[in-house]
Amino acid sequence: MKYSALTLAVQALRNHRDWRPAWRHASPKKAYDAIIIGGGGHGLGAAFHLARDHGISDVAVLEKGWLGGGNTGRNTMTIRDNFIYPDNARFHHAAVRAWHSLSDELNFNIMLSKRGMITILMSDRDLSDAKRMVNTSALFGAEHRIIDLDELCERLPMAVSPDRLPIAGGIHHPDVVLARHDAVAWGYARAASKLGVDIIENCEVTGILRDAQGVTGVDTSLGRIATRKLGMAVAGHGKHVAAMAGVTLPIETVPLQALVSTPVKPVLDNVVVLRGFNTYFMQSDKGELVMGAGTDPYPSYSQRGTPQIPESIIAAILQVFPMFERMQFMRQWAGILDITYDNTPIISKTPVEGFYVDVAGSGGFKTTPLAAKLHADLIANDRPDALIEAYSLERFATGRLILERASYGNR
Amino acid sequence: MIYINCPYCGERNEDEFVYGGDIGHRRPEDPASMTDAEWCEYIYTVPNVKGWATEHWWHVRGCNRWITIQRNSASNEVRTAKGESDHG
Repeated sequence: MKYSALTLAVQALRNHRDWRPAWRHASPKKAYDAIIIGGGGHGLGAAFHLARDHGISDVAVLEKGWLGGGNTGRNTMTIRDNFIYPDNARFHHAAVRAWHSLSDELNFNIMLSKRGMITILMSDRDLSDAKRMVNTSALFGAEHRIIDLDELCERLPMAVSPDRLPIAGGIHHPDVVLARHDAVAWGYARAASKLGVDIIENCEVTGILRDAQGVTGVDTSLGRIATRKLGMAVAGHGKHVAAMAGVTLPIETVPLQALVSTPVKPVLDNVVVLRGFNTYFMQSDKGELVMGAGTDPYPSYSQRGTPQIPESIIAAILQVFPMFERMQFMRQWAGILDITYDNTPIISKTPVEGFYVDVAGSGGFKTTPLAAKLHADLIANDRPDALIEAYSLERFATGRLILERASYGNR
Repeated sequence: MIYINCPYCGERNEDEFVYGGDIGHRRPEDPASMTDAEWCEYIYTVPNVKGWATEHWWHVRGCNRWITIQRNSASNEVRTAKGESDHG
């Protein structure tokens, strides 16, 4: 059923009796042309693009838990492209643009909200770094702009006076958008399912089978499934799943926390980044203040995170925005990030023929539509698109790293 | 909050410590004799254990000594803490 205003009106008149489940719950077949491990945005998106763009619709997506139950449902929805190094600036700007057409492509409202972002800079060093970022990303068409204190105060009238804190200036990022993160998983699942992709939940991959030619299949909690092409779009356990194929990924697993307040009426349009405090926050469409910071100070697989991080986030926000002093804290959680040494994703072939990975996004929600599309392209054609050549696994042998400072996992 | 029982100071919260890496990730004895691939593996690949790991921690806001603890990276439970490690 195509979703439209007309369908909605007709269903309203018929008392909403005819709505169908958005996707099929499939049981695994004996064999598939391609299998994707991981039913989050990246994995479902890769399956969707394999079916739509490459004519490979005999595809299964295997998900250990439930759809979008990992980092797709745990991020803070912010989609930004303020990166310093050319490979990242180019890729992330293209990724932001890819979001704009996603609702139309999927016929599913992902609730894209063009908010813009303001970065508050707290030192001259921040300001000079910001100028470098603005200039680099301008080469790839991204629009960021240094703003002075007057404009900063005008855009964020509720912030504390710059007389009280050493605020050096700001950056306005008009292209930054938010998207409803669960809707991304649901939209891809519905669109992929419609094209014949089997979506299999509660199916954990326990082994990856190989012969001399490469991948031959996977062992799962629901039995053995044969395939010659295997894509992995896993967050948090990427290293462990890849190890089943004998592939070593240079990944460390670290929690990234977020917390929300109780909902209030709209007060803040932009996403706000407090550079000196390594903190950011915004107000969601539901009215909650959504707050986050950098990664936890030590690796862990616990989806809780260490308590000094929320404390420092709240302290930072209250210093700059004292008006939020009486907001009620509602809940806090952590997503488990796979982080590479250079804080940059790996979207790459591996030494095992037929085994491809899209991992270590370091906050990979923002790249979902582009990473999924290029991962599918890589699986179908067995060669990387120019945009992801720099994200190869080989860079850890050649030393061509992209030492990005704008990701969450700063070292 | 993790509580770490420092063998010198007693039980303190994790705020006082800095994580120093997995004890299994050691600098090779003779880097000059290694291949580039082996060196890259040492530089970029950490053990990243899920479950019980043995780790160096630095009690920087306490006695300023390096200690060795066992921590479960899935539950953040801490089991034993031993004295001076040879980390630094």
